Amino acid sequence: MFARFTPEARRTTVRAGLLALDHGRTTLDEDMFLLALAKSWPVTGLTVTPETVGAEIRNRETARGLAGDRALLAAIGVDLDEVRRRLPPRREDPLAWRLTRSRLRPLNVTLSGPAGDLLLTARARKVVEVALHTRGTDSEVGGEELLKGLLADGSNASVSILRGLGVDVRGLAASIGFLRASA
Amino acid sequence: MGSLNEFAEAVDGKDPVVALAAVAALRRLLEELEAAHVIEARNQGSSWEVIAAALGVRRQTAHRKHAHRITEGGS
Repeated sequence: MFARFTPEARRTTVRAGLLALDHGRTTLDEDMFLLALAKSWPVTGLTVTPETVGAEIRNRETARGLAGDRALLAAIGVDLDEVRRRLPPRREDPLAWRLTRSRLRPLNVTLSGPAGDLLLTARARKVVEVALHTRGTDSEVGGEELLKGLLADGSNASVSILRGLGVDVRGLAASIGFLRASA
Repeated sequence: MGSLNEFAEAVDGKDPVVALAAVAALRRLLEELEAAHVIEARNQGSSWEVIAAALGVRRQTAHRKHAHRITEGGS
C-alpha cells in the first residue's frame, strides 16, 4: 500500500507505528497518526506541539489504567530507551517497513517492519482508507490526506484531542478542503 | 537489561497484576528485539538455517514468523 504514499506520508505512518510501540501498544490506533502528524503538520497555522498531543494521549491512557511499557520495564530494572538505542538503525528507516492488507482477511491491514507487526485498529484502517480515497486520481497519499482521514470521523480520539487542545477542528477541515457536518 | 534478581523481586512482589503487566511488556520488547535482529541478520547475509539455530527453532518456524517483514525497497 505504501506504493501509493508519498515518502512523507510513509514516514508519518512508520513514525505512528514506532510511537505506538513506544506507548506499549500492540496495535496501531488513529491517535498515533495524530501524534506522528504533530511532529510536522502538513498544514500551516496549527500550533499544537507533539509534546501537548503526547501529554493528552498519556492522560487518556492513565485514566484507562494503562501504565505504559517504559514505566513497567523500569520497575523491573529495564531501561527501554537504552535497549532501543542499541537496536540496528534500520528500525527507523521507512523503506524497511511495509503496509499490507491481508488477502484472506481484507479488513486486516498490518504495518510490518524491523520492530515487528502492528495491526491497524478499525479506526486507523479507516484513516488510511479515507486518505487513499481522497488522494484523487494519479496522485499519492500525503500528510494532508492522512489528516483528512483523521478528521473524517468526528468520534475519533484525534478529533477530541484536537478540540481539547483548542483547535478549531471545523476550520481546520475547511482549510484543507475537507468539511463534513460531523467534523 | 536489569538483573534477574530485580525481575524476580517484581514477579514475587505484593502486586502480581503489576508483575504480570511487566512480564507482558518484557515479552513485547523481546518480540521487538527478535524482529530487529532477524532482519539485520538477513541483511547481513545470514541464512534462515543459521537464524533458526540461533533462536532455537526450526527453519520453517523462523521463516514463517519473519520472512514477510523482509523488504526490497518496501511496498
